[in-house]
Amino acid sequence: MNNEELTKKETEMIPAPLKGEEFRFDAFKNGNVLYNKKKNRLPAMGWNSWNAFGSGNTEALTKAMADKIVELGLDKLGYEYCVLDDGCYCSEREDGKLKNEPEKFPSGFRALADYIHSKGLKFGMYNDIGTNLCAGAAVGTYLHEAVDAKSYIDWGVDFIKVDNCYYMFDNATFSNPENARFTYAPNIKGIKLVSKKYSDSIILSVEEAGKLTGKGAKLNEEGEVKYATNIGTFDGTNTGTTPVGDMSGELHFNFNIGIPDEYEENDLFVEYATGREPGVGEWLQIAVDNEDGSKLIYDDFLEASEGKESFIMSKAIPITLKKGKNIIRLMNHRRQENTLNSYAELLKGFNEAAPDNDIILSICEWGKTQPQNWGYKVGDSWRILNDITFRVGWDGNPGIGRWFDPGTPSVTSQYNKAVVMDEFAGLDKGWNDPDMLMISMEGLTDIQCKTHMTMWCMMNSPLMLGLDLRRVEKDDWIYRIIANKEMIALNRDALGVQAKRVRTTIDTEDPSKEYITNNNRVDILVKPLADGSAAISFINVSEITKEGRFSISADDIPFDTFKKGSKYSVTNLWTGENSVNTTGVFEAGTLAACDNVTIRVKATD
Amino acid sequence: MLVKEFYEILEKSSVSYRTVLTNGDSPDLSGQIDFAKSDELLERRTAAHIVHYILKNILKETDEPDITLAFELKDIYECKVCLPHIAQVYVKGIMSAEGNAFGVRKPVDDGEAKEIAVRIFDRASRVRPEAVTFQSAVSVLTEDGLEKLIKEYSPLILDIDTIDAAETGESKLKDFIITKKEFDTNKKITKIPMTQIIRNPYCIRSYIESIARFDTNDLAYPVVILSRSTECAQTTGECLVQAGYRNVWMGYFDPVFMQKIWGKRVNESKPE
Repeated sequence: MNNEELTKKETEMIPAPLKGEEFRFDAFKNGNVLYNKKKNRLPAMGWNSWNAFGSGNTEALTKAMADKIVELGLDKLGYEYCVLDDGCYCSEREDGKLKNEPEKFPSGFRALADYIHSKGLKFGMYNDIGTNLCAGAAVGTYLHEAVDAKSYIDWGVDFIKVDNCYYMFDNATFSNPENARFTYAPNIKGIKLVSKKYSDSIILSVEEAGKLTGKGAKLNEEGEVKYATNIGTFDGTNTGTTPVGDMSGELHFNFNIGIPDEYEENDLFVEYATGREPGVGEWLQIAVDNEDGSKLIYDDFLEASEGKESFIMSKAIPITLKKGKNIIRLMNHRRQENTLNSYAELLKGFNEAAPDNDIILSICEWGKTQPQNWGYKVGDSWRILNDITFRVGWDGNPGIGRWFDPGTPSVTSQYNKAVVMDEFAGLDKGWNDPDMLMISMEGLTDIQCKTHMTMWCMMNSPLMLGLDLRRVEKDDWIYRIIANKEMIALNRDALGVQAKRVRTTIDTEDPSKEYITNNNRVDILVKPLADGSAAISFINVSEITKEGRFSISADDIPFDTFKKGSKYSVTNLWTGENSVNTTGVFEAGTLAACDNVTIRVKATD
Repeated sequence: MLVKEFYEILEKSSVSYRTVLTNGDSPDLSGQIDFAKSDELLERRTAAHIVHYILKNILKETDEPDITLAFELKDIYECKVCLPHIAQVYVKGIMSAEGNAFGVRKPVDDGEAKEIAVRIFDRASRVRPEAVTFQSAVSVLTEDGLEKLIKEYSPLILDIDTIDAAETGESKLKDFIITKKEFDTNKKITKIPMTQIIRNPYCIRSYIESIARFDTNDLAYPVVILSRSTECAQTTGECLVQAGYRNVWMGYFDPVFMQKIWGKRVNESKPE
């Protein structure tokens, strides 16, 4: 490899500079999308190969699934995407391009897409923002975004699910664990400001003058050396950590400048120590916030120290302060920003290859970088956790699903997190994605499957079937669940508002925001609908019968769009039973284990 | 060891292996198995994948229906596409674990490769993992029991309080909490409100992370709940058990006894 190639390779291993202010953490709350990302799209519905067949999916199986979607009339109900997940490519690129695995997909992707389109359906595929796919094929999109986007356009792709295994700039699955050096700031002991005009300096220690903000960053008080550590973003892949609120921390130093130009032009020095493990990295971002706004003045590696407690002083970093209040922010939001950047490259590629494309981008980084904060800028949905099952099926085996698991692989693990994330979802943003449906997998009863469907419909989750549809016949128990029109109508409602948990039987101050993983409870969810009605779900999350009466009154429904009245029509969306309610109190009685009662209530006068 | 070298070992290990395949030719599974590129280093996850492929597709051996034991492996979720293969070869006793970890990315050496090859074709030589019996309820500790538990396992001690987080103060046990792993003895140990654990039993993961360098995914690690209120300890313990923690104990102990126990422990040795 010559010097030019070496330099290119080394350059490629460093995260790209942020393309602009809109890619920064500070822009996450402004609601602006990138590269004209489309809005006002309801959650995707369709079938995905992974839970059904894992890496064993083939062209023949995919065609069979497309045939069944039409045969069962599922397309008429809204299931339109037929998605190939991992396991469809050759393990290496050919002439730098993606290629179909010739034995499993002999006709190629264009032909398969044409077949699926001929059925009136849409075609989806899968890739990864890293170098390799999760199953190992060296065909990730990193540094190939434009080429791959063109390929997908040429093949007629309508939907793409993009994972983050082998990602270069985070300690993601299969990535180098030392990639934490990109995603955490170094340990910081203090700063020194040297005025260029007056040549005097101010030295501030973290202990005395530093202020930790947000969540996660902490002051290490062990021993004689006090320093700020864990400056970065929480990893959201696993259960146990709330998705609501601050997901990262910063270290601030406040300066109030009384006299103009007293300390205007300075050199800033940071006393720091680096590492390459979660909590302490090598990449530092520094911004100055004042009346002029926020300006990023440093966004790069610092020279490595000998160890994570071997503190050294940085080189001089020019910094301008203004009269009045200034906040020097030391931080590292690159975990989120780098990932956003990579997904944005793909979106840009699609839009440059075909400006009028309508491709759905399904972000699948498992919640690691808290995509609920930034996903709306580039994608249509974002996974919130690691997989809902790791025991996927294959041809002849339905795979295994669970109702409960301490980790992520269960219906309730995903539900417990998604149900408090309603604030992040909407037509102007996108959708929380608690992963594909496991309906009909072994290990789940029909009641659990029914409630699984209820939860996903109420939460405006993408509805991606994950079963071998050849096992389904019209009007069998599986069909009655996946084809429940009333339930699907909730998910497709034009108002596009994710249900809110308004009550729970576990003691909590705010049931809509509190992240609860104790399944021994009954939840009451309310979803406002476009016609002024509302859907109410009473869900027994536990695996034991819950006796008693669970109720909510019309006055407690927290949506302005809900029209109240003196009389309501009530429709049970699973039994079809209709009734009239004149009390304005809606209730359910004893709930069997894992069961739910879901009704639609509409004021009639 | 490279993947292709593993294939060579497999080929030599069984005549039936060769004849079952295409007329005695060496198998080329690289197109079948995503990880199995011939010139790459053989990691345990790749070996598990290859072995499982052979068991299912060549030897037509049925999968074990119950792979619960595999979920005791703390790194089982590290490779989601490998999980079913690792689970099968582990439960069938073809590839073992080290402690409670499989070693997903650990390289396979020549000795292990040969052992694996034997066990694929000779079922009698397989060594199935032992079923581990965990508690299904919270167990109550006597003072002697606690002393024994500390001596043998260095459990994680949680000081649980009934009052709200806003009022929670520093734990009286701050000098006495001992874990088997590296522990920062100067960390500030606070009480955990019971209500917090009832809502989110996994919150103790972040608590543990804040005080010790500890594997927070190990739900089998012994946890002792101490509280002024027996009912509080019982309720908290039940929440933890339902959440999947498998080794939960509770007790209320006389402070004088606690001083005796911890004082003796701290003087004797440093945490491991």
